[in-house]
Amino acid sequence: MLELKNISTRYGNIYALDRVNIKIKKKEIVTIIGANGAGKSTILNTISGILKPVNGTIFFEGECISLKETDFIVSKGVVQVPEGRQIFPHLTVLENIKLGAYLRKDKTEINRDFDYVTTLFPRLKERFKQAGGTLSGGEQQMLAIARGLMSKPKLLLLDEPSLGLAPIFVRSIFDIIKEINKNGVTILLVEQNARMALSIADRGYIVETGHIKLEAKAKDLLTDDSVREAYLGI
Amino acid sequence: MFETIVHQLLNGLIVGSIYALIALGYTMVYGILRLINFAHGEIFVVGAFAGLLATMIFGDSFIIAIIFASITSVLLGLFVERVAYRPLRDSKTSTIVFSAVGLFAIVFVAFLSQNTIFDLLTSILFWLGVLFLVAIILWLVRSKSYLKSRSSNSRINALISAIAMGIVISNMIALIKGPDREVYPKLIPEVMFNVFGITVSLLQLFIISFSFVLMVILYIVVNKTKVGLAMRAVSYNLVAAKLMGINPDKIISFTFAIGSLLAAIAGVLVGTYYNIVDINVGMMYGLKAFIAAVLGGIGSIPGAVIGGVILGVVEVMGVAFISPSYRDAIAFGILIFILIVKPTGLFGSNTKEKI
Ligand SMILES: Nc1ncnc2c1ncn2[C@@H]1O[C@H](COP(=O)(O)OP(=O)(O)OP(=O)(O)O)[C@@H](O)[C@H]1O
Ligand SMILES: [Mg+2]
Repeated sequence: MLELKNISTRYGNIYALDRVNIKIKKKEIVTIIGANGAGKSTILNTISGILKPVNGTIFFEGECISLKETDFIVSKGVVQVPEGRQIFPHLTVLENIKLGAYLRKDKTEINRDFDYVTTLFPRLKERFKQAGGTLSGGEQQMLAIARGLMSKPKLLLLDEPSLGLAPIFVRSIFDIIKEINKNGVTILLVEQNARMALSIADRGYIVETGHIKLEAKAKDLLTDDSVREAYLGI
Repeated sequence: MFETIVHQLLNGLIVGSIYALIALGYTMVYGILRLINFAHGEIFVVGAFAGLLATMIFGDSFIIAIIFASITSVLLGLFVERVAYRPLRDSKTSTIVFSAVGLFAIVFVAFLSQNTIFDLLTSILFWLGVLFLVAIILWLVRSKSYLKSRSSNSRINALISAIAMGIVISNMIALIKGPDREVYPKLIPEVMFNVFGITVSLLQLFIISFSFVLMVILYIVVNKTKVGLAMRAVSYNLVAAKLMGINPDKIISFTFAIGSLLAAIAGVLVGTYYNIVDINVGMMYGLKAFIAAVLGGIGSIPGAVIGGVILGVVEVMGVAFISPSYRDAIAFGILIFILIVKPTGLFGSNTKEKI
């Protein structure tokens, strides 16, 4: 479904990604794990077209998207829920959700998805008129995911959805990710919380300073000694 | 005495409405790009002249003048955005090449339009003065608020580009038009009303109510429509807006178009109110409207309206009750005062964006 071939991306003159190869099949949950500054967010932003790779190609459903603009990429169904949520704090919860459906014209389906996200996140429903910035951290994360789902993703890129959340919230966010995947959305999940991520993922990639160090089935990564030591704290 | 005060209040409201219409263009562009569009005052003048031209061709019709002025100014506004600002957002363009071309355009046009080298120098010196003033204002505003978000380098480039655009257009007008004033036809029938012993003209009522209606429409567009929602999203967080599938270039063009439209309408209103247009008024109105926008809190739409009205009323009152020669001094006095007391303006947010 998505394939990154030899992708290199840089900030100014500094390379943040060095010939990264990633492949994601339909219906999979794939996770990217790595330390702070390894380049995980850079990978997602390069896929989304926020950053343009200096080298390499990205194919989504057979189409080359590596030099396309973000709005085009979103319209193809590649949707990112960015790190730190990035909801619009001054806009209301409802406006934030509506923005997710910005490119869509299919009124009836939009309404159906709207009902879907409000049943997925009933807490948001009670807070439609509230400014996004007044939500708690966990609620903001729900809003960010809800907003992403309103874009009708085929592939959902999630950047550290558990960041800064209490353990009980982390659980429910991961449950929801599984649920979204069951409904047919392919997931690329970036996480610091490696154990959780690997427990729901089919496959995982380990990134270190801008390149892929290891790629394997999630089960195998969970039992791999070097991974256990570096990322699972055992 | 009471009658004079009401009269002057009415005058102030009219001048204020005009300032507000122009100030809205500054404030919306600033809100979305954190850029002062220095060509905006000129876009206003071009609107006034385009309206005049329309009356020469099609006869004295207010509606035709407005339509013609609007189309011309909107096209010019879109052109300015495309040529002077977008290339700077686009990392692929080399800044040096861009600046060189811009500089060449300024010198070339300025040279053609001025009679002597001396005129050319004064014109350039004037704009340098404006640049300096604005740099100080931006610095003051920035120290309190949210300007820090983008690299200061590209911001300064954009500022220079903006001012260059202002110079080019004002000299272009001078080149095409010659530096004369022109008589502007009366486009609204001269009817007087007597309200509680105070005479008001239809034109006065019209300017105030028309401006009011435009502002209400603008409010609805920004707050109740999809494109307005996208405008707000882009102005709060560009990257997040892109991730929603918004194409910021389209939204920015739309913003320039609306600002230019309002400026064009203001241009025609000023022309028919004073029965005269002068290419130099563009600069002055532009500057005053900019002050109004800063007074209200640049980036804030209600701020631009309130700032415009306050500035208009205070200015007219000052002229009437103190001395006509203080007109411009009052405006700049207000500017200095607000910058010292509250650099973010009346409605400017002091809070940093959380994003
Ligand atoms: N805007 C930027 N300008 C310059 N360098 C950047 C920028 N953003 C990221 N970097 C650098 O690129 C590298 C990769 O950053 P990235 O944000 O992709 O890391 P990450 O794996 O997402 O880290 P984290 O887990 O902390 O989110 C880091 O060294 C970072 O300092
Ligand atoms: Mg990151």
